[in-house]
Amino acid sequence: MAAELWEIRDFIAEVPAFAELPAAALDALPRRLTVRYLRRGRPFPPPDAEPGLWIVRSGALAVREPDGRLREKLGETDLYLESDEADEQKPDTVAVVEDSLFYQLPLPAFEELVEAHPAFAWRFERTRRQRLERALSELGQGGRPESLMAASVESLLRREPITATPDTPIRQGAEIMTEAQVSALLLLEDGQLVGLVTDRDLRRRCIAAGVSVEAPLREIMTETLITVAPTASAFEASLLFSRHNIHHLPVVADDGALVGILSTSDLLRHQGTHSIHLVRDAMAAPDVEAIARVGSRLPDLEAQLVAIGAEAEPLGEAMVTVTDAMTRRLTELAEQALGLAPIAWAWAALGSQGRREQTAFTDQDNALILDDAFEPGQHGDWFERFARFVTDGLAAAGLEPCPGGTMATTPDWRQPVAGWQAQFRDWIEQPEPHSVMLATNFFDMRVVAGRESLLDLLWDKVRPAARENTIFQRRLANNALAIRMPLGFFRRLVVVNDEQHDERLDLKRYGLMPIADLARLHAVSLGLPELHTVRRLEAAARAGGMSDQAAAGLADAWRLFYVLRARHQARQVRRGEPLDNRLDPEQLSGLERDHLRDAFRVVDDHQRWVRTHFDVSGTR
Amino acid sequence: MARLRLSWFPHGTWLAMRRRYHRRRVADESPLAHFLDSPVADLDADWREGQFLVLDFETTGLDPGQDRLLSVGWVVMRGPTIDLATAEHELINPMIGIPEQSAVIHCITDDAAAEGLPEREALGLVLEALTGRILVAHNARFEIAFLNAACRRHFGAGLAIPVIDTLQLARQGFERRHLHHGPGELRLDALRGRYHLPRYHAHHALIDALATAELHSALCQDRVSPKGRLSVRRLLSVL
Repeated sequence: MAAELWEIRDFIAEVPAFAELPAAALDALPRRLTVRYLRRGRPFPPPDAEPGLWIVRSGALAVREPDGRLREKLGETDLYLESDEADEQKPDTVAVVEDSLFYQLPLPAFEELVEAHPAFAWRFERTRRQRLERALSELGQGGRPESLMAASVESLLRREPITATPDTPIRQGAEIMTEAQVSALLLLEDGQLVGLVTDRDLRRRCIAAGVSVEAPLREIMTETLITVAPTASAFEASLLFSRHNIHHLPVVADDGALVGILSTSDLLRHQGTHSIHLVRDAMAAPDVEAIARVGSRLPDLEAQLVAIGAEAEPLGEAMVTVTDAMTRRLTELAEQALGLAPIAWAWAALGSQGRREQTAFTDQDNALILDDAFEPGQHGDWFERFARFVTDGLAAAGLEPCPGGTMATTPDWRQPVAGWQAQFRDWIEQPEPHSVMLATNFFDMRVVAGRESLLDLLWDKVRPAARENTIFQRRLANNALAIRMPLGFFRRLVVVNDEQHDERLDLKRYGLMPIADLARLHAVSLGLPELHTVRRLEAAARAGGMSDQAAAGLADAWRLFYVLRARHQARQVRRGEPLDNRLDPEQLSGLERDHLRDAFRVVDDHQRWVRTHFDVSGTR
Repeated sequence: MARLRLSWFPHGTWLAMRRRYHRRRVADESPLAHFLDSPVADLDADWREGQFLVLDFETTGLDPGQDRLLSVGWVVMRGPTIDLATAEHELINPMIGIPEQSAVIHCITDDAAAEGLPEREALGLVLEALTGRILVAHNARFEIAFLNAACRRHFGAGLAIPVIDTLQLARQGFERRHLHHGPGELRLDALRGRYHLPRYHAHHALIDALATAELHSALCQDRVSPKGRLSVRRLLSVL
């Protein structure tokens, strides 16, 4: 006989690791559990319990390291695995901090599940590295910008379908369409799609034909409908549009369920934001306004690349290619407006654009490197106007001016090669905390337009100097350790530390930036020319500056943060919200939370290693 | 209901007496006879060692004489540990129509109930599960009254068993702290909320039994420190 423990089964099915189990295994699970209630302050695990896997049903646990520092906080659906092995020195203390109800799976039953279900087992694998690798492969892979026409119809849909019944009066149907700002209305009867009414039908079959607006929509609707499956490609959809000379395609799943409606403008917008088109538009832009129009489509490009499941690196590459093209075209427009430059120059991008890992939401960071023939009195004015023209153009294209003023419009960041060399020498030989912070940005310089060899002249001097100077490296390391990674999540909050619980996860501050800082530290201390964070890590491992595992783990963590940020921004694009880096933990699945926790730990582990390896003194 | 300090009450003697009385009226070989012949749970054990059967009935109404059992759910607790492997739920065929006012509560229809076990058979299973255990229920008067009535119908005698009523335990808790409490605050859901136990959605005999079991654990922990001793005897109710 079946005991109806579905309340428990349904809860367990929500727990990320258990969500991996097939339905039959989930059904059988409740009977293998015991239930324990522990009041606040009781010892955990309770001394009389067999070891096992504890599932928090309600309440909270705080796990602390031996020195009392909070390691993590566990709440509903979180797991605590009690090991029977004494090998791991496990002096963590656990406290029940709220009245809590637990389900416990005894160790033998847990091990049976691990044996039988690999997908369940890998969630408990020892190395975070393996879990992260797996996480990335799950995030939807394989998408390349070239495969845009292969994007599924479903990924192009922008909103829920707007529907009415065929018996709705025409006037009311028109009102619904006006209200929802759509040009087509889908008509459903008993959940089945029976017809479609478009703006054109209202004109031709209603107004022009003299049909009363009180008549039902049935009288003017198109009945024989051509539909498309949500899994069909954008290419297939474009064939249907042209073959039948129509502008709207209802999207209907195999089981007859209505999924949405695809219009030719959805497809046009989709094709139009292909990065190659944007690059072409940027390079052919006749004026700053045209550049600004290209810039305004960057968020759409990002959203679409996310929709086709683009990986982190191609995604950043696509964004950078467009930004570089806009920058290059702006320098050309500037020379058209101001006359040709009096001496050779190189326009350098810094920060994320410099590293080729930009997203649609970014500040502009740039600098000008001038030929040593530079005479302030003679050329200063031209280059000042040049810098202003380009940075204003970039601002018009949506790249906000850098709040810290790291832009070519600042005289300090518009210098001849010799001036830059002196500047870097200062930074390297007299490293002050704030100057090191400033310097980090400049180690990511990349020439976007103008004479590239000017920057090479600079690197020839700067890279060896930085590689030899361990004091500078120690400062740089200190800077890379400035941000301590969060511990994880607790309910709707990001647990930054004991005192600080944030409502949003800043993916830049607590993810991308610390990893970029670590990668730069390795590249600079080894004198490597790489700029991209992942390339820097790989090169550092090859050069023996860090272990392969550490490099691969950090690279995967970086990719995870990058893709999650892009997905977050794509969501904001779809909703018409301003872009930012701050993710609401509620939008993360349990699985993603676990992956992020792993990623935090990977970074934290490497920060600890850097602390000893670069002999950074002081405590954080 | 008697409000007594129960620690001095000679439960063992009283129970033995009642059981001998009932046993004389029951035919040998019946499930009730077997139950009454088996030893009673150890009342001097610490609650952490206690053997509990947490039970809940759904019935056709509130009168044990007229109304019938519709379903039963139970789960075994060893001290504070609720063992879901022991969770059971049975529908019972009441052989009478189900009044509408009770059907809206338990959502058991006549058709579903007709598929259920005969009452006598279900009762046999309950008695077997109760053997050597202490019965725990919320407002246990109700469960005991229906259990006794059903045993009388089928086996000709009542049963005598040590009982813990979580409603009484909770009331004692309020009184110990000199807290005012309205009748609403002694409801299962309200008490669970007080101990931060999650809300269950179903009104279902097994889920209610489980909900009562969790509350029982909370009430016991409320009564005694982690290291302290609390004999089962001190938790018993006289009904």
